[in-house]
Amino acid sequence: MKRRSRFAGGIVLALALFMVLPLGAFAQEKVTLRFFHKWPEEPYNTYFNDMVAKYEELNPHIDIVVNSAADQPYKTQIRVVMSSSTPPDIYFAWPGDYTANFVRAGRALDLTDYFYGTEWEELFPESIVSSYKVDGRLYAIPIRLSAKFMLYNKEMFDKYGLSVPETWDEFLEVCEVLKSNGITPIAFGNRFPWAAIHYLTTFNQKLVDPETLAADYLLSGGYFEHPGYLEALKMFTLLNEKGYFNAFPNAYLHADARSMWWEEQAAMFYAEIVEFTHLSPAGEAPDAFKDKWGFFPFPAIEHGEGNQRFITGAPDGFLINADTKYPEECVDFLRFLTSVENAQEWVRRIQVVSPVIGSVTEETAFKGLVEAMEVIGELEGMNNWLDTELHADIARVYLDGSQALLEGTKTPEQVLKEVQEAGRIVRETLGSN
Amino acid sequence: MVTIHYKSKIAPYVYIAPAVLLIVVFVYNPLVQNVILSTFEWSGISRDKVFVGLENYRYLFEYDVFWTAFKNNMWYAVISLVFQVGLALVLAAVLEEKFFRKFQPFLTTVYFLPSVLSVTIVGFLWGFIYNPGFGLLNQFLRLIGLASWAQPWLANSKMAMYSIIAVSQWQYTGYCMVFFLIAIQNIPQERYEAAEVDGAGPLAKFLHITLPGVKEMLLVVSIFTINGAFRVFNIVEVMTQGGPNNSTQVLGSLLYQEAFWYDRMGLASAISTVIFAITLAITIFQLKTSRSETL
Repeated sequence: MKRRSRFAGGIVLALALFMVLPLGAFAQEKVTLRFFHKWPEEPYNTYFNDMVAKYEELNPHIDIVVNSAADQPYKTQIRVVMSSSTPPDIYFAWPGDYTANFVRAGRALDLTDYFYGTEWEELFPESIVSSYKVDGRLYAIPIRLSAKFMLYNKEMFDKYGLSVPETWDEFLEVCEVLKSNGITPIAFGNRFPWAAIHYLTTFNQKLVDPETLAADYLLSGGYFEHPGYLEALKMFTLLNEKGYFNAFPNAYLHADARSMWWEEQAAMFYAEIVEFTHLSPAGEAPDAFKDKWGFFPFPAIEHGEGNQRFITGAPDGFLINADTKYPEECVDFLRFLTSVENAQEWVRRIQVVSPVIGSVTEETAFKGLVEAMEVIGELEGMNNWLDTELHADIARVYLDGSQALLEGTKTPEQVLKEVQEAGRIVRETLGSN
Repeated sequence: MVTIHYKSKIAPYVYIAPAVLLIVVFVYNPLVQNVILSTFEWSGISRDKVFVGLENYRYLFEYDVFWTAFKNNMWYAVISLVFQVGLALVLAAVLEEKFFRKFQPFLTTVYFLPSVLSVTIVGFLWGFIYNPGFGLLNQFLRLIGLASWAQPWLANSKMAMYSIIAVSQWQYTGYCMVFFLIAIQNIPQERYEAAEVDGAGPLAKFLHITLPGVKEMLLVVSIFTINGAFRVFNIVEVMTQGGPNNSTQVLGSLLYQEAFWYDRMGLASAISTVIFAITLAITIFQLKTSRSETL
């Protein structure tokens, strides 16, 4: 009896050892992180894959599963995967209400304490990081920075003796001169109406005082009674009615307009700094065009009540799922992605801006990008995209309305009235909670 | 008559169980779930669902974009009936005429070919044709002196829906024609010969022999076309995404956008229940009428 129990005890011990040993060999439990980003295209895709491989090599117990979808499909897929049983641990979101929506749903980890008061904080300008704050708490780490510039064809400007406009009136004059010489002043493709939103984002910010603007963009606001909102819609309509855009902007994609511009069928193009990559030495723009272009921040609207030294743009950043089993590992991976070394690699390979201080240098970036960063550095703040800043129900009125304005089926007054109505409904149904 | 006697009364049920199970899990279960979900307000991101009763339906019936979409589906159905049923039948009858018989295989292939292309490719192709700048259609109109007709086909909110519907007609008329060809070929040739002896012309033969002869097929293709018109989604998604300003929204694209762009999952579920109700009604109608025909 005794012998048998000792024998049984021996087996149990052996089994236990057998189970513990492999764990001891790996020392750590295997961690799988799901990472969902919105850049399936090259050179982004390879960058992320390389970074993940590098990180996994440094941390053998971590396995990162990468998934990606482009801008428009991303908006769809993130909703599907978030409601699935395997939601991502790290995922992308635009700043503004888009991020706040995840925060409200309890799907975003509060990163404030991971970030502030650590060395990590020193790597970013606060003005950029703060785009991702919701009620004073930080929810994402920016990886890319975008800002809008008016790009122009230097040769065309020289030919007609035009100089870079600094005010809205000068800008209209430039357009008029170009148009009277048979040149389309601005290439514009609004089939996906976020392109129009970038104009309206700019106009709203320049025309409306910052406090009113901030209050209206919040869920509890949404009144849109400041006269600047109507003027913004009117300015946008004016550019179209005067024939300063190409004909039928709703028929073209933003990318079509970009080609129109570098094929020299139009003089100007309102573009994001992330599009500069196409104009970099390896970019897809015609080589002959690569020395012909310049850029300027959108001209000041002199009577506007907003800060004229703001630039329209926003960071792109990553959130961590509040339900992740491995918050520390997720944070560590984001720290790795935004280290100075890896941010420099990002700039060098993709030729777009990283918000990490010291990443855009003459060594890592081409001339256009370095110059644009200098201009951004001199400006006083960022003005985030209207369509992600506002609640989706208000944003869609602006999105649909912009196409109606271009076609002339709605007046600025009608669109504003719909915006105010949407604001009222959002305020009543959500803002009150 | 041979009757099979099973030893057990349970055996037949066991045999059909796998199929029934699959259908219940993958067809009926989502249907019921969808109806239940349409009584909640919920988003894909949040895990909370708020019960709102019939509020989503009330909202839907007061929602102007829903009615735009519904109207567009109706037009889709009406125009598709004219072309994919009416024109396709006429084409089939013409191809069956003696003179065209020898060209029939060639012409059938020509008409049928568009339907084997993927909708995505067709959408892109026609996107180029409709392009206001370099598009073939506008260039052609300018060439023949109709420059004033040239326009941004897909960006003009009055024309865009019809431009898309036209593409579907181009793609599927030949497909439906093939069904009618088969039906016509099943009509006994003697009837035509007898009619000819009686001195019937082509029109009389079409009206009195062909038409009654393909009645069954006519009904099937009509139902199938109308059903398709209410479930259309991909061609709109490829060509306009419902724009400009919602003018080309159909129920399918609205459902998709409400769900995945604007996070209104409850409303989207309500739309899909409406689509289901419409297509169910059409199908019941078809079953009823075809049953009364055969009895």
